[in-house]
Amino acid sequence: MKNNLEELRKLKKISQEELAEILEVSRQTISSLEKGRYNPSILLACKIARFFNKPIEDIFIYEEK
Amino acid sequence: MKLVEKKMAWTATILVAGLILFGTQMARSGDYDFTTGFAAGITGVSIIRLIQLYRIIKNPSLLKKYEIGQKEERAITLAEKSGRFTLLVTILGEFLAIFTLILINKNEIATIVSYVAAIQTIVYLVTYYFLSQKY
Repeated sequence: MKNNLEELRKLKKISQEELAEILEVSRQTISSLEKGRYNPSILLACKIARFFNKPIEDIFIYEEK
Repeated sequence: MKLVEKKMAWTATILVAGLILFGTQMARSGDYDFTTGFAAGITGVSIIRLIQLYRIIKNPSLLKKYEIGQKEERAITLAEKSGRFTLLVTILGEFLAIFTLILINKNEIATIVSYVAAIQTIVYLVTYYFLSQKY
């Protein structure tokens, strides 16, 4: 699953560390999410969507293989 | 009770168990052996762990980082994946050991390893059954 988390975070001008603190996860999790190496749970995806004030599908793009 | 306090309680329990084991073995044999070494090992590790946890509990920013690290979903996912892999490797290793031991006529040890492998498999299946009922 692709996502545009990095773009959105940079638009907000916050670091991975700051975003991690807001979402109560580690910086490594933010890094893994941005690189597309880790797919978040529904709960974390909701938290991210709420923080950026966007629908989940605008942040995470599901691609059928 | 906070997560770090629970960890401290568990570590303190292991520390006490280590001290009791060390004391009783020393009283029984009056010399250092494998058991006293093992007991000293778990006691030492528990003391170091307690010091680490005490430092964490006294520092609010460290405490927050620690709690996030313990509870966050990616860390849990990684731990679960590592656990699954470890179980698989352990069981395969045990079966390999059983065959090797039978081939070299060490049937008694092979029986013990078989029991361990069987118990692990049963625990896995029972846990899987109960979790499938719950989720």
